[in-house]
Order: sequence, then structure tokens, then C-alpha cells
Amino acid sequence: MNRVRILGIITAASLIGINLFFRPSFSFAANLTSMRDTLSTSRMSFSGRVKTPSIAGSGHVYIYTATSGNFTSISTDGLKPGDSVQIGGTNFYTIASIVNSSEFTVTTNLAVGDADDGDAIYFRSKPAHIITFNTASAVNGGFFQVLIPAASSNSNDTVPDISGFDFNTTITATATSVPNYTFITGVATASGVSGCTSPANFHCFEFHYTGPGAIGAGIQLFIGTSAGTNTPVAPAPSAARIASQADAYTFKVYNFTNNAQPGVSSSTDDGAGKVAVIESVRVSATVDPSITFKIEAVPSSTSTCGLTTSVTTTSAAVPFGVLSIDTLRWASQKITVSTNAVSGYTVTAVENERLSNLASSPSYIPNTTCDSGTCTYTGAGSGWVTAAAHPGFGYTLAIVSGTPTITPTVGNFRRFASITANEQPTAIMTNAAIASAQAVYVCYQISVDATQTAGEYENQVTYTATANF
Amino acid sequence: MKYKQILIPILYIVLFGFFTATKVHAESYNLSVSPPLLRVHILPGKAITQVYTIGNSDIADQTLVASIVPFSQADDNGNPVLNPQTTAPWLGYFSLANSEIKLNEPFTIRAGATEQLVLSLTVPPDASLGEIYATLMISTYTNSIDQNLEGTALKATIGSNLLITISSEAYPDTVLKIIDFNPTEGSFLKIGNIYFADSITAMKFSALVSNEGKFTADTKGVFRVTKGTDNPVFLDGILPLNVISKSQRILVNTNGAPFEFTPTLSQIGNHQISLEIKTENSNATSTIEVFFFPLKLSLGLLLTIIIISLIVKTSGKSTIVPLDNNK
Repeated sequence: MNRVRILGIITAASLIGINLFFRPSFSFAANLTSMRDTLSTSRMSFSGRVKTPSIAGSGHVYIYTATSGNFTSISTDGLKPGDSVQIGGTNFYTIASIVNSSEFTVTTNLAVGDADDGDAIYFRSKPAHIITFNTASAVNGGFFQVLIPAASSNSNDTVPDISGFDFNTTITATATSVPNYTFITGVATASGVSGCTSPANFHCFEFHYTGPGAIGAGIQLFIGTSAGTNTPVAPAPSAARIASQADAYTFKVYNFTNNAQPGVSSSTDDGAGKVAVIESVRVSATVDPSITFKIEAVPSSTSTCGLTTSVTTTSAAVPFGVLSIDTLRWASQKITVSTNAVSGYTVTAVENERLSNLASSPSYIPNTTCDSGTCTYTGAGSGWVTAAAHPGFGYTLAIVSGTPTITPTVGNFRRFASITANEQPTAIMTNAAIASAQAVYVCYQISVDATQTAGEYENQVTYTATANF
Repeated sequence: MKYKQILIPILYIVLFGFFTATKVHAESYNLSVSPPLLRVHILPGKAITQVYTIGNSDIADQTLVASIVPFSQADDNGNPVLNPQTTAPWLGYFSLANSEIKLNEPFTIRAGATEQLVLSLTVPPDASLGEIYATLMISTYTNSIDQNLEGTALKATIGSNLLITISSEAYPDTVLKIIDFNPTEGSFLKIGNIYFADSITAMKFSALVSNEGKFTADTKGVFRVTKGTDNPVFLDGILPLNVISKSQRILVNTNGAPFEFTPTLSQIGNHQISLEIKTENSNATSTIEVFFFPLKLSLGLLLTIIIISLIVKTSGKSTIVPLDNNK
């Protein structure tokens, strides 16, 4: 009996020992959940080449439409006006316009050395990364490690890579503290540097925290900044990329205990996700060419052209009212023109005839000849400040906004061209390029002398605005 | 009774308002037209239609009249010389296809609204080959005279230009010439046919193009600076402009500004500066020779040498008085 008992005990002990030694318990790392790497922009970088006939001294850039090595950007689809691109390795240029899929223009001419055939063209897209996930375990006082894909070589030279994000020298890594997780400033290490060699071809970011941790806590980690400073450079198109399809990369997140050594120790929890980049969508719209012309009233007692208006005008009339002998009287209207016609516009003016009183004995208020007695309907005009002995009707101009060319300029008066006298309308306001709300005051001046027949006088002035062809 | 006491005053007020309401006048004329330019090639016997959008951005309705005004001349900026009294035998080619709007008849556009004018051009099969230049004028219209106005009445007109070529060829030949191509700003002097210019001062250039032919052309081309070889050292585009028959236009670059070239110290020597227009119906080229050298530097050095020479001469002329040992 004793032997049986002893044998049974030995057997049981053996079984227990075997179970312990040869059937070790496995503990599996749990998965972090709801993992996302949200980029502030999914726009990919540009890595292309200058092509002949680009030349120094010109702002017109031609690009290669075939790939070569890391120069995988073969279309201007990834560029837009306003982008800052590096051409030739040193200088930066701002894109002025996209001509077509293989040409664009820049705002300053290419410098010598930047227009050689094959010179690199880089646009650096620098999106901030916002890594979010939910924890699977409560790891007390540990840290999260984020791995962002990097190229196998030259992954920290600020030049866009085609198989990962470039480290761009310095990266800001921060995290938002939440209950049970109080973060300190993150540590960023470029791929291949000590502490970031395993796994290979990833940049490493560590976010250490204090606190007990929690299960299911929402964590938010930031790599880079919204302004693009201290931020990784997004990849350029990959070598095997299909146009208009995104390039997707895998990022990883690990939750380690405090003294763990990434690359050697096992993580408590981990997870992986995808982050994608694609060309930006260039939205284009067609704006029809047009011209807009506006005439506005100016009230009395308004300072225009260095004069103070005597009466209130409407858009359809300049009612001088009752005139005093040998006294100047003023009125104004405001003319505004806008056009997107490339050749600009011209506004002309003409009167049907002199201010007339078509009573039984027609009489007229003469058109001005200014103080000099020589100003006419063309030319620069001249001064007219004296009413006595200088009766007449005329006008001057003053710029309100924009930079139109006006004739006459403020202080110089001239009369209107007259249809009755077979005179051609004269240009009063012009611009030789597109114009946005260019405005002038037309300031009318009138005076009569004692010989002027009493009565009501009127005429009509026609302003015509046309776009130059 | 109580209701009557309330209603009757209200009725009086309402009636008073109706019979004394003042006429609302537009605060401004605010018109727009699109497109501002129509450039057409058309065969005899063919017809085309163009839709114009007329806008009234004012707060009040506007009564307008549309008319076609021919022109044959334009200034150097491409502004037509318009005389509303002008007529032409081909005016009958134009009509409006609108059901309720006719040329030279008033129509109303409501406040803040737009109206489309469907302009139809029908060229008879036996029409003469050549050019038609006209402006579609949209003018304000009033059918009443303000008896109380003591002053000037105003009329506003907005126009859209039409440049029409009637031809059996797609690009009938014309004759373009570039004239008055000269530098206008910079440090330079002209000796014979060559300009001698400073090699670090920007130069601006002006030029006119003259169309001496019968058909409209446009000014597509480049402003080019070369030095001996065919490789240019500087390129700029010419703004494409329409040059109507028997007229001139001022040439400008694609930014609407005069042509400008800033040489560098390394660009010393004889350069060719040219304007080259190449279009489907005419080519024109004009070239000037400019010899760049460090003019200002040279003058500065020369001046310095002269001053130093004067100083040295002046210093050398001062005499040394010997000591009198007998004293």
C-alpha cells in the first residue's frame, strides 16, 4: 500500500512538474483599438525634374513626364499656384500658375543653375500626424512607442522619399494628458539612429507618462505641428504607384512598461493602422470674362477733387439748380469699373451739346476754356479757379481707388467732347490690365456771367465703358 | 362705432400713403456685360449665335436699349473709336433672337437680375470678305424728359466689342510690323545702330505693332535676349492682343507691363534683344543690338582716377622752402 501511495504521489508531482516546465503559460499582448493616424493634409510631396527648354532668366518651368529613380512626380497634378517649390537644390520659388500637366510658371525667374536639364524639383508636404487609439490594458507609468514608416536610406535629409516619411531633422512630439495618463514631451528618433533600429525602416516616437493607466482610455498623440514646422515630410509618389490612387503606409503603436527596451522587450499591447497620401485635388472653375460699370450719386458738401460739392447729384442727373453770377458751382459723381479682360478697359465721355436753353431764342452756357482760355476737350486740361470773366461748364477727375489712368488729372479742367460739333468721345479713365473696382470722381464745375440769358439750361453726358480688345 | 372710429383714420392714412408715394429712383447705375469681347471667324453663308449676359446690380429696375455700333478705328490700347451715329451696310447681319427684346428697342432688367441677349449673326453667301468691327452697346434709356432738371442728364453705356472676320480661310494673311522698338528706361546711349548700356541697370523697352493688312491678327510671341548663340539668356511672353486692320497696338508683356531686362555683371558684350510675333496669319520680328558693359562702374572709376590725379598734382606743386643757415 505504501508503495502505491508513493508511486501515486511521484506520478502526480511529475505531472505537475511537467505541466509547469513544459507547458508554460502564454500571455498574449492585447490589441490597441480604434487606431487612426489622421494627417492634417493627405497631400503627398512632389519629387520631379526640370526639363529642357526651361532656362535661367525665365519663369516658365517644364518637367519630365517619365520617372527616374526617386523622381517619381511626373505631372503637375500635385502642384498648385502659391506652392513653394525648391528647384535646383538651393533656391525656392513660388508657383504662379499651372500651364498644363507638364509645365508651370513661377513668380520669379529661375536663377542660373536652377534650370539645368534634370535639376530636382521638390515640394515638401508636411502634414501633422494625430495618432488616436484606445488602450487595451492599464500599464502603470509606461510609454507608448509610435513607428512611422521611413525609407531604407536617406530618411533624414529633408528630401521627400518615395517609400516613407522623411524625418526632416527635428520633429515635435507631444501628447494630450487624460485621466490616468500624464504625459511628458515626446522623444523623436530618426530611423537607424541608436534606439530606433528594430524594426528597421521606421522613425520612432516615444511618449512617456505617469499614472496607473486604464483600459479603454482614449489616447491622442501628436507628431509635428499644424504649421508644418518640426514635422515629417510626406512621401512623394511611390515607384509602383498608380495615378490618382493613394499610397498607403503602415504605422504601428506599442504600449510598453516603464523600463522596457523597444526592439528587445515585448510590448504589453500593440496595434497597427494605415495612413495614406495622395495628390491634392486641384479645383478649377471657369470665370467668364466680363466688365462692370457703375455710376453713383454724391451728396452736397462732399469733398471731391479738392472741391466741396454744392449740390447733390443722382446717378442720372447733375442738377446744378440756380446759378449765381460770377460764382463757381460744383457737383460730383463717382464712376467705378471692374473687368477681368486681360487688356483692361476704357471709359469715354461725350456731351450731346452745350448746356442749352431751347426757348424761342436759344441760348447756351459755353463750354469752359479754363483760366488760360485755351483748354479744349482733349489734352491734359488746365487750371480754372476764377469765375469772373471765365464762364463755362467743364470737369476734372480724381482717383478714388485703384490706379486707373485719368485725363484730366485733379485740378486740371477741360470740357466734354460734343456730338453736335462732330467730336469723338474722349477717354477719361483707362487701365491696360484687369481691374478690380477702380473708381474716380467726375467733378463738374460751372459758372455764368452777367450776360447769361435767364432760363433753364440742360444737356446730356454719356459715359461709355468698354473692355479693350 | 368703436370700429368705425379706428378704421376710418387707418383708411385715411393708407389712402394718403398711396397718393403721395414718391417715385423711387435708382441710387446708381450698376451694369455689367459678359463676355466683353467676341472674336469670330466665319464663312460667308454661315450664321452663329452668341449669348450675352447683361446684369443690373442696382436696387431698382433699369430700362435699357441694345444697339450695334460699327467702328473702324481704335487707339493704341485697343479702345474703339465709337460714334453712335455711324452706320454700316452690314448692320443687318445682326439681330436678337430673343422673343421679347429687339435691337434699338427698350427692355427692362429687374433690380439685382440678369438678362440674356441672344445675338445672332447671319452672313449672306455673297457677303464681301473682310472684317466687321462693332460694339454691342447697352445704354440706359428714358422715355420722359425731366422738366424740372436744371443741369446735365446722364446716360450710362456699357459695351462689348465684336471682331469678326469673314473669310473662306481659317487664318487669312495680314501684315504685321513691329515699330518703335526702343529702350525707354535704363542707363544707355546710342551710337549709330547700337545701344551701349550699363550691365547692372535694368532696361525697359517699348514697342508698337502695326497691322497694315486687311485682317485682324493677335500678338502671340516672345521678348528674347540672346548673346551670339541661339540660347536665350532671358525670355518673356508678349501679351496676346488683337490688332485690328489698319491700326496699331502697344505691345506689353504677359503681366501687362513694359518689357524689362536686368543684365548681370557677367553679361558683358554684344546682345541681341528681339520681339518675335508668330501667329497663324502673320509673323513679325524686330531686333536691336545692345552692348552691355559696366558703364557706371567705369565712370565711377574714371572719376576716382581724375580726382586722385588732381589731388596728386596739387600736392606735387607745393614748394619746399629751404632753411636759411645764415640766421
